[in-house]
Amino acid sequence: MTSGWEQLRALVALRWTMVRSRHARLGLAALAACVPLAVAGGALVAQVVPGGTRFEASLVVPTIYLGFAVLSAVSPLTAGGGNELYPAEQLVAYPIRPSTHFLTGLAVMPINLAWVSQLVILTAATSFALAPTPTAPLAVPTMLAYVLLATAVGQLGSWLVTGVRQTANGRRAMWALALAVAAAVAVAARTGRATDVLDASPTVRVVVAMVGVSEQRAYGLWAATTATLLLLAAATLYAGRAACAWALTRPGDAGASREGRPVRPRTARARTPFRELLAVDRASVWRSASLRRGALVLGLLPGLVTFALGVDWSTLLLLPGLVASGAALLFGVNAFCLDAGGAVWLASLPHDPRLALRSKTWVVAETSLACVLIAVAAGLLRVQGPPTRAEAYGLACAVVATTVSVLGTSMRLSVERPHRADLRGRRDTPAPPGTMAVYSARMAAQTTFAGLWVAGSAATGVAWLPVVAALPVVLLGLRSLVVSGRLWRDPAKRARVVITVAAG
Amino acid sequence: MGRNGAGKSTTLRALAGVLPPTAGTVVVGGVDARHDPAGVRARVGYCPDVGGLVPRATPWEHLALAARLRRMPAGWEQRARDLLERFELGGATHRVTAGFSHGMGRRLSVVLAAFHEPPLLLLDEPFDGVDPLGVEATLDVVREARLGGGAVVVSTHLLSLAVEACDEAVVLRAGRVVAAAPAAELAGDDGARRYRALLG
Repeated sequence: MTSGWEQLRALVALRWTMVRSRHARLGLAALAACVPLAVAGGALVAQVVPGGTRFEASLVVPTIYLGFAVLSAVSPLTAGGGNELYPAEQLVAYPIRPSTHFLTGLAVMPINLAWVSQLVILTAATSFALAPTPTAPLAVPTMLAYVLLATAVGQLGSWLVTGVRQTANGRRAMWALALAVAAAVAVAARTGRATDVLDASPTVRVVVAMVGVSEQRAYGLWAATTATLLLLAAATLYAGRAACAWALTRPGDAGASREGRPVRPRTARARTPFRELLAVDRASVWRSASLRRGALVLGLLPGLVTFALGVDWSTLLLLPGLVASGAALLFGVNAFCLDAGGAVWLASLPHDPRLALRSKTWVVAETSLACVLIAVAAGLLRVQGPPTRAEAYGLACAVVATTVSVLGTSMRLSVERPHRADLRGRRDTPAPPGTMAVYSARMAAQTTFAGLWVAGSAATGVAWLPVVAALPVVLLGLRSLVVSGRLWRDPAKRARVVITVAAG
Repeated sequence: MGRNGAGKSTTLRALAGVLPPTAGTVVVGGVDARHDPAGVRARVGYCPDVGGLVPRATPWEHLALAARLRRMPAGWEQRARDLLERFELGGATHRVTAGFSHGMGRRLSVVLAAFHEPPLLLLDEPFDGVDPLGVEATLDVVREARLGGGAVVVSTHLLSLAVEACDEAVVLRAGRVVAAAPAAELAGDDGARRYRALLG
C-alpha cells in the first residue's frame, strides 16, 4: 500500500484536475501566491513602522499567538472554508490511510482564509515586536515551529472530538466542555481576570525566547524553546495520525447519526406554496449537522470573543460583515444544494419557479441575519461606553448593508455556479475546497470593505452619514438579487442548476 | 430502453418539464412543454433516475409539499398514508430521507410520482435496487394507472420487467428511436437476443 504522503499527493493532484473552471484555477493560483506575499509583506511592513511602541506591542504578541492556536483548534471543528479535499463517502471504496486523512486536513489549511489572515497578523506582530538586529531572523524557525504545532494540535483535537462524539456520553461530555469553556471565558471577563489568564499563557515563553535571542542573544533559551516546539509538533503529528485512525474506526451508537431517527412531524396546517417550500428549506438547514454547528459557532464564537475583549464601537461595527460572510459560506453560496437529489423532483412540480428562488433567498437571509444578530448582541453586552448617534446608526447600517451585500452575492453565485453537494457529513461544504477558498476570499474582501466603509462614515460623528454610506452597498446587493432573479427565469439556466445540484 | 447514455433519462426529463427541449417539440396531453412547462408538470408524475428526494425532508414532508404545490383537494392525507403502507414505508413516514437505503428511496420516488394519480406517469429506473415486494408494488401502481386511463412511460434496463409492465417497447440509441415494437415481442430468449441486437 502507498504511504500517506504518496496518497496525499495523488489526492491533491486529482482534486486539481477536477477544478475545471479557468477562473477558479486562476483564483486558486492567485490565492496560493498571495499567502507567502502577504506573510512576507506583513513582516516587512512591521519592520519599517517606527519602533517607539515596540515594547508595548510585544506585550500583546503572546495573546495573538494564543488567538492563532484557538483559531487553529476551532477551524477544523467547524470546517469553515472547507478542510477536506473530498467528501468522506467518495473515498470509502479506496484504501485511504488514516494518516492521509490527517495530512489532508493539514495540507488544506493554507486555503482557509481565516487561518491565513491570522498567520499574516501573527507574522507582522512578531516582526514588529522584534528589534532589527542580526539575530532577529533566528525567531523565524521558532515562529514556524509554533505555527506547525498549533495547526497540528487543532487537527488532533478535531479528530479526538469526532471520535468522542460517537457515543451519547461522549457527546454530552463535549457539550459540557464547550459550556465550561464559555463559562470560564465569561467569568474571566466579568471579574476582570482576563489579563491574568492571558499572562499565564505558555505563548509568553515562546515570545520571550524570540525577543531574547533577538535583543540579548539568549541562544540557550531560544534553542530549548524551538527544540521543544519541534518535538511537540512531531509528537502531535504522530498522535494525530493515531487519533484519526481511532476516530475513523470507532463504531458509533444509534444517536451518532440523526438520519436514522424520526423527526417531530410538522403541524398539519394549511400553508401557501411559498410557506411549504420555506419549511422544507429551513428543515434542510437545521437538520444538517454541519450547517447547524457552523451557524452556532459563527454566531456564538465572534460574540464570545467580542464579549471577552470588551471591544469599542468602531471594532463592533466590523463584526456584522465578518459574521455575514462566514454565514454565507455555510450554504448560501450554493443555496440550491439544500435540495441535492430532490432538485429534479421539485422542478417537476407545478409551481412558479420564482417561489423556489424566493424561498432559498429568504432562508439564506434569515440564517445570516440570525448569526449576525447573535454575535452583535453578545458584543453589545460589553462594548466600551455608550454609542454616539452616528455609531448606533452605523451598527444598524452595517448589519443591513453587509447582510444584503452577502445575500446578493450568494444568490448570484448559487444561480451562476452551482455545485453538487449533499452536506451530509459534519465536514461537508457547499462547494469543493478550492472554490470555497476563492469564495471566502471574495466574501471577506467584500464585507471588510463594506464594514470599513460604514465604520469610517460613523467615525466622522455625523449621524446621517452611515445611512448614506450604506445605501450604495445595499443597492449593489439588491442589484445582484435582481440579476439572480433574471437568470433564474431562464428555463435553460434553471435546468442547469437543477441537474448540477442533483447529480453533479 | 437503451444503453447507458442513449438519452432515456434526458427524454423523461424533457417530458416532465424539467429540461427545456433544445430542438423538436415536446407535447404532453396537448400542452407544449416549451410554451407551458407548468401545464406539463401539472399533468405528469415523475420519478427521477437518481436521488429524487430532498435529503433532510421526510416522506410526509415531500407528500405535503407535493399536495400543496399541486393544489390537491383536502383528503390527500389518506391516499398518502395508503401509498406509504403499500410501499412499506409507513414506519419511515417521519424519518429524513438521507438515512434511507437506495431501495427505500426508489420506492418513495415512485410513491411521489403516483401520488396525485397523473394522466402521465414517468418512471425512470423505478426497479433499480428495489426488493421483490417493492417491484410488485410498483407494478401494481403501473397497472392502476393504466386501468385509470393514464399513460405510463418506464425507463429500465430490466427487460423482463419492461415486458411485464409495458405494452410497447421503444429502444433509443444516441438520442434517437431505433426500434419500436409490442413489448411482448421482446419476451423470452428470442426477444432478449433481438433486444441485444437493437442495443448495437
